Amino acid sequence: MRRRAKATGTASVTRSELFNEEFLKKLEYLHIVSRKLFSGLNRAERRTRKVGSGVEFADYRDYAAGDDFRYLDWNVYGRMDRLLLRLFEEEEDLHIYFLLDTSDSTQLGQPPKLHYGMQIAAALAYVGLANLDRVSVVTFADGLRDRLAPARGKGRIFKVFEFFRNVEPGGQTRLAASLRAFVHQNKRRGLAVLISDFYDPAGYEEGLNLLRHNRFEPLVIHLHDPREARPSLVGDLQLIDCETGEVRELTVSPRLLKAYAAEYERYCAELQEHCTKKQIPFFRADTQLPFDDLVLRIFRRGGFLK
Amino acid sequence: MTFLGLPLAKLLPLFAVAAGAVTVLYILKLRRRRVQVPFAKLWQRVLKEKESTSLFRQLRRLLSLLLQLAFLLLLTGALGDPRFSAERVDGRHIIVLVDASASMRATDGAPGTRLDQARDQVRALVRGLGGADAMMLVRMDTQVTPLTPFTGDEALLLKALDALDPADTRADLARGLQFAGDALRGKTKPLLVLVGDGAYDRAVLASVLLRDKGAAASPTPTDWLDRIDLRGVQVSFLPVGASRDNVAIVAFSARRYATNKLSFEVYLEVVNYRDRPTEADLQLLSDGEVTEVQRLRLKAGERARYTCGPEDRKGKKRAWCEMAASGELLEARLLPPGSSGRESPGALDAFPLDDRAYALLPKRKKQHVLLVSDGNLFVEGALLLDDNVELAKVAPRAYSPRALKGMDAVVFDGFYPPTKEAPRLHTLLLNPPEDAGPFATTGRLQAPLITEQSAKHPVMRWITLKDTNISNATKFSMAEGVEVLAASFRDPVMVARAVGNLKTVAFGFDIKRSDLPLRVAFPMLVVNTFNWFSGDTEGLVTTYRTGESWRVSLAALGSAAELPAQAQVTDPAGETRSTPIQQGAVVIYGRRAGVYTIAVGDKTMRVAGNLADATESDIRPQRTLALGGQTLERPRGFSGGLRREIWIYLLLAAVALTFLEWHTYNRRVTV
Repeated sequence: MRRRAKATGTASVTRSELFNEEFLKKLEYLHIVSRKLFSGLNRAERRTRKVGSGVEFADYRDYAAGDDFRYLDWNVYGRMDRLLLRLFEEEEDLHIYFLLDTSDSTQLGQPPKLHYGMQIAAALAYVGLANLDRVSVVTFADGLRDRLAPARGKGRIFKVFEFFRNVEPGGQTRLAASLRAFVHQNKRRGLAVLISDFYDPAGYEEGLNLLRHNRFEPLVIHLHDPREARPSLVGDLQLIDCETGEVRELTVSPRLLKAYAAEYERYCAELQEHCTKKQIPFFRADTQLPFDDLVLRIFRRGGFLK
Repeated sequence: MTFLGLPLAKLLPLFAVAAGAVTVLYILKLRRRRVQVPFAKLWQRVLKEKESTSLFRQLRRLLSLLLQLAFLLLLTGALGDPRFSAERVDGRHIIVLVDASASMRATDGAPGTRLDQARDQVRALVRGLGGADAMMLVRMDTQVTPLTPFTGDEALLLKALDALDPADTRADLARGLQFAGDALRGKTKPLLVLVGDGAYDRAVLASVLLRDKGAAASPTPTDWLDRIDLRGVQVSFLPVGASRDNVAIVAFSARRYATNKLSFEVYLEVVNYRDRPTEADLQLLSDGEVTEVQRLRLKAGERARYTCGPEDRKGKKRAWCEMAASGELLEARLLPPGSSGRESPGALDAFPLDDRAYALLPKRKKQHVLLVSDGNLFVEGALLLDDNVELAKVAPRAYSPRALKGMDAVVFDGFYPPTKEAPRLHTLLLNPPEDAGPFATTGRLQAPLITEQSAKHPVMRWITLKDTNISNATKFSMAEGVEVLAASFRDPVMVARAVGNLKTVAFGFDIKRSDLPLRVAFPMLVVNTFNWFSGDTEGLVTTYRTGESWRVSLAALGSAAELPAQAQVTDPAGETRSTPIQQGAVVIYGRRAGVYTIAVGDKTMRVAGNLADATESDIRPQRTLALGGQTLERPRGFSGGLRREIWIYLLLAAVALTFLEWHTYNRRVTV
């Protein structure tokens, strides 16, 4: 029988307190900042899948490997000896999907990684709603759990809050199964913001590939608690996986802890490297840092704002 | 290697069982703390090898197990008390006879006294005991006291040794050896270790029977009556002491002159045990006040007596004669020359105990005596000769009981008052009327001859009445309490009686009609009579020797009938104990030299005890001792202060191993 893990520790704030007045102020601030960033953005650097589907020319950007070379502007190439891609305004409004991992492992930590992920998702959703994008929120663990129907406009943010408040966390992390179900259920392509700690014994590669192959634009936010890298464990222990219930007996020595920290770092680095290779924007969300710092980092990096 | 504790046959199974138990405990599954982790796969990736439940995997902390087994091995080995075979000593029964006599107080031990040195020697013996050895510690002065039973308990032996203190008495070696011989008889491997300075009676040393002289010469039991049988016992000697530096007072007494109780003379005997001529100040104190100081000059080994005899007067030795002192307690002290005036003169030699001696003088008391007589110059002369008598006279016709006020004794010469006026005083009756007086009479004797006289009665001391001519005398009848002082063919003519504290003496004849006043005996007779009345029957108060039981008469404190059942005796060290009074006397064991106070109710008396033992004062240490003609060797089979019991080191190693194991465990070396 699989053991159900309890959330360790008590969050400094309850879930209902996550989205208070203070939080809303921060969201408004982030929205204002996002608009400044938007006006200052180099449009040529903005990648979109919607090339060729619109009629109104929007902008150029540098050609990158994998782009459809039918949209290359050969005239510019002829004159400037530079490969530029023609971009067209999207006719449809942008769909933004927030895929939030609510498995057992996200309930660990202080604050719980789940809360941190919810705050990031809420902040980005607010900016998306404010930009009149269609924002949808989906929770998953061993499969898809709850879903918030796509909505537009700032006023819908409270529905997002309500949705998060009522999320029932639990279950194992099965990225592949969850994302397979997601791509089958959502035919409208768009930006898929995947927020997870990626503790999937089966790996994360298949899941991310599913998003890419089904023409979603994935953006990965890795929930990371630095204390998980250096746990304060010593002696003869029975380690229980909070999701699978798998038991492992071992004696933790300082040397082993050091090796574990290195392995953890390697795991995170592998995830980041994989995303970079596949040109998936990747952000490590350190739960010990304020969430708005991460959101600003996402804005600056680009890939989320139009 | 031999095992004096548990034998190897027991140790091996013990170790096997314990080692098996430890191994089983190691095989047991470790109870681990349960901890939740978010992603166990990462830990799996860290661990290179897979956890296994095989026996070999359970023993992965093999080093820790080996350390534990080594710890067990050391503990089990310690139980066996292993010894090197060369040191093997099978269960011996050892008596350590520690000389605790006065000479062991000598301060030539380095450091401390000889007894301290002896303690150190015995401590080394105790620590060198084998696992199966049993030792008994015995103290020896004039008494022999076993301080422990036969035991191998080192702590008990050392505790008894620390409590050992010397007495101010001689050593009764004969008694000590007899005790040791009796205690060791029938015991396995008997060993007697004598620890002392060798200040023992040579006759005792020669009287020991250490071994049979052969079957042919087996003596008869009667030859052994005065022998100390130590056959079969191995006897060793541990000498202590290093110096012969001693000048001792070996005898000291004083007495008042019989005819003048104000004056006294002193007898003193001093021995110089040094091998060089010595000077010393001899100080005499009376009740703590310095009375006289003399400079003594003694040759090496000289024994000097200081008396008031004619020989000494001829030799111009300065003795203390015809001295007068108000006190009763005399103390003689030997001091370094020229130091008698100092507050702390220091010790003259290495053995200060015999540099002091004490003597007591009888109480000085003038008796007020009333002579009721029509005139008797002989009696008056005898009484006036006695400095201790204050005489008052009254004629019989002027006598009344009022005249007795303030008097201690009364002399009735040819007269006795009517019965209702009979005095409640000591009374001397001279030629009492036949129909009066306290003694019943049975008629008169004409020209009696004194044929018997009492040898014991104090009145008759130094008196002989042989050939005394008497005109006639009253015959006294014998009654209860009446003692005959002199008799003519068993007819008492001189009697005495003591009723309670009231004493009466009667001479049954008129001294003027006898030649007794012309004899030397007469004044002595009068002096003795009044000395007996005052309770001062001894011109000499006995000075006792330590190490003996003294029977001290309490007559000076009251008659036997009046005395209570207990007296409080305080020794020189200030310890007071209740002592039963039996037949008007107490028995005191003199363990300490000095002055003892005996208290009965509110009355007290003092007695003095001195070492007064030339053998004990001769502190020349003997490096060797011959017992029964055989020179004794030093004790063997003891480690001489170095602990050779391997079990102690095994235990220490086990403790060290525990620390090592704990350290390696915490450092994750053995896990």
